[in-house]
Amino acid sequence: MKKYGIILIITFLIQIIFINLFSIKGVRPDFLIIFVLYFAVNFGSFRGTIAGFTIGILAGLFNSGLSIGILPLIYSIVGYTGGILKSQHYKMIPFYFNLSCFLIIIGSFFIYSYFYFDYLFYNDFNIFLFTWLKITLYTVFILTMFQFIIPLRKS
Amino acid sequence: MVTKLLVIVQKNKHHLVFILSVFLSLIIIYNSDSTSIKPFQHTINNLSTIINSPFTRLNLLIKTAQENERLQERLVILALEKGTLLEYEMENIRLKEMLDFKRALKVEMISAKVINMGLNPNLLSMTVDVGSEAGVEKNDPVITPSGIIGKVANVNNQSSVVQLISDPSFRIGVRFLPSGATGILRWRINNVCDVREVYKNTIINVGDQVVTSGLSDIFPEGLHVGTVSSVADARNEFQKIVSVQIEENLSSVIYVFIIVNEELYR
Repeated sequence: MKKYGIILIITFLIQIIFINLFSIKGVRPDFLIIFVLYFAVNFGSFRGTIAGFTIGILAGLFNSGLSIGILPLIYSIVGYTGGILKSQHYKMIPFYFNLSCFLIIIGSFFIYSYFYFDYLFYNDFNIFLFTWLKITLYTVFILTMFQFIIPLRKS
Repeated sequence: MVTKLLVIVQKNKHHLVFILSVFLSLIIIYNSDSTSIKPFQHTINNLSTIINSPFTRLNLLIKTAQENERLQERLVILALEKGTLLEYEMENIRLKEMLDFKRALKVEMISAKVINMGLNPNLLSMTVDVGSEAGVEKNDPVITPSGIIGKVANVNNQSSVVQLISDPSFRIGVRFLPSGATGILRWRINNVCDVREVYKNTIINVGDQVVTSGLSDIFPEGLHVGTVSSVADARNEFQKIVSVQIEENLSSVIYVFIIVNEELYR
């Protein structure tokens, strides 16, 4: 648990201070959502949801102060659904386990995009899809990189 | 009975916590403008500014060096153009005297440094290092030499949060030049915005200038917004969709200008 506390502080600092170094045309990865997923897969839905909500509130407050409720919502969803995978560690075959992790992130970003880009969702769905995929794939790419370093199944 | 209930709660605590979290999140989403949340936001924003300041300065130094190099090249080009402009100025003064032109473009601006660009996966807002102490007020327009980039959404004592033009909920009333047609501009994707309230019979060409219309209370008239990049007729509608290219690269903005006194402008 202490290890995760230190990792959380580092992740938070990276997300606040260095996030623009990773920016590609204004799109940045979300390291905090990856942290919440790792945490939830290790500690289950209960702690995962609480961690997701708390981290989301903090991130929302740090996030230049606009629409602070969206991050707690999606981090809670990641914490809850990621936690369900905890008991599936050794029951699921690795492919489906990893696919589930990616789907959690992709689904959460869909909700995030819906709240932020509701105008596009109703008026220009193709652009909405493109925007959603753009911000999702960057974080999914980073998650894939992490999977090679610290696989979620063994974290 | 109570014991049974406790057992059920204990068994389903993860579901209950999740439902509670979603419920609370939705309450916060729909009450994000609440005055009870603002003090927390201001405190955290100030904390964020303090944490970021050493890195902002370092980043600023690096970007300033690059900017300096670019500006020196630009200086040479401008020096060449200056001669021509001086001639135009003389001619302009003569013509103004002839027309008794009253100078209207008076803007009181303050410069501000970007200190934070938020945590979101997409760029929606930024924090700048001037606040109410410098005279900044909510809804003040924020511009760069390339045009409008947003408006002040929240003001703290020494910092302000700028809602960027890239925020999908951001809207500006714009006018196309030379046609004079007006519409409402909203962000679409990759520095391209849409204006949809333009009648099909209006003549708008690629490359036309887009400026603020002055029809809203927030943005004064005539501020540069962008240029028309494409024009398309909307299907089954009497309107056309005009795409406007925003020239500023929002993710690399270092300094911005906040128009703090619009009365002078008008």
